[in-house]
Amino acid sequence: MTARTACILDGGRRIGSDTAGACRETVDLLERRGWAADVLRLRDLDVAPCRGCFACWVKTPGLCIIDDIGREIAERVVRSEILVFVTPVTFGGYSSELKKGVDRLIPLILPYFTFVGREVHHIRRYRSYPSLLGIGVLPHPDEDEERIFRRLVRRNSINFHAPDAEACFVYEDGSPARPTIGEVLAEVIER
Amino acid sequence: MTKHVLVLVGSPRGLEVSTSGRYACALTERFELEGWSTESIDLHRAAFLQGEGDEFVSKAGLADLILLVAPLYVDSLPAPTIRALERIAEGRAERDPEAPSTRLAALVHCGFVEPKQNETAIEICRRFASAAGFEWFGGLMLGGGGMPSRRAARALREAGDALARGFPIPPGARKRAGRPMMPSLLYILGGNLMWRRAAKKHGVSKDDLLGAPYS
Repeated sequence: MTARTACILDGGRRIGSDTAGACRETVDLLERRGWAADVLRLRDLDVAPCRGCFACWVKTPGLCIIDDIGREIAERVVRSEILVFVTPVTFGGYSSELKKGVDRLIPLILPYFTFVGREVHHIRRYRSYPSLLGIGVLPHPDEDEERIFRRLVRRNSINFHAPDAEACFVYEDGSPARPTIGEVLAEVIER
Repeated sequence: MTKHVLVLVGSPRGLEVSTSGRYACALTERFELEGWSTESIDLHRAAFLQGEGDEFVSKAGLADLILLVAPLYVDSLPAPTIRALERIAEGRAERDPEAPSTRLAALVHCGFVEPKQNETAIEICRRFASAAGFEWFGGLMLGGGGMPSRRAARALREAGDALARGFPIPPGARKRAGRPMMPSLLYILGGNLMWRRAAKKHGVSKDDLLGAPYS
């Protein structure tokens, strides 16, 4: 039987750094539950930034016009069941390393608009999408940044049609964090 | 002494042809009349340049006001814009706390009809201001994919006037910009027609446009 797959986008910026521990813990937790973890360390990948040209919508539908690893990232993401963003919380949002991968996921949705709730969003291109888990690494607890980060993860889950979305934090000063990575991962898997 | 405004444009389409560039021009019109000197930087290019590309980091600390204008990319700012902001914040880690503070205001615009969808990105700009030691002078959100609108033009004029006179973006301008420019259903119908036409121009049929290459 093929193992269920989680795709982890590691947005850590420094070598030997900030996100390595959170990534390792996530991989361990997944493997213990029999899942396969597909880790992409974005700082090691030469991903060109999205050009905002919309070619992936109107010229080469579903495929980014830039022929680089960005295409493969999109493919690996949509083929997974859980998508995990691991990032140093950067002004409340994602690091530039994580964001360069996230911006290249636009081909996964259609240009057409529809209502999602009372808001206008793009229509899904694929039948299923992965659930989204955002893991933010912070030097210490910060209520304001955490609120922005949670909201960003929730907003992303709407735009990428994720069936489920959760966010949690890891503090570099050792402050205890609740929920833990294990707790949110269990929730996403069990739902 | 002449005051200086530094305009950071975050669109990958550059200063001349992008919606961000157009909005930046509208915002800074008043500054020239009030005698400010202005300089615009294409962040998409600058963020990935080394050496001379670092100039924007020092320029940011020397300006009286920074105007950050960027499109919404996946609920946030585009990656190169975030990269540039990271570099500015890191470059200012050792700043002189006695130095006169630079103010920062931001405009984020999106292709959805609801300007409110830019809220998270504006919050990120506010947090950047705080991290880099800039004084937050407010954020403006525009929707509608850059479609011309009298209300948006007025909001930009009001915001530009206030900033050029040394005041934060006024609540009236924020409120005006924050209202959708048309009913959502009309936007959906018009937008979908526009996408279909754009695909047709590239020889992409209605069915091919729905292609799912990774199925």
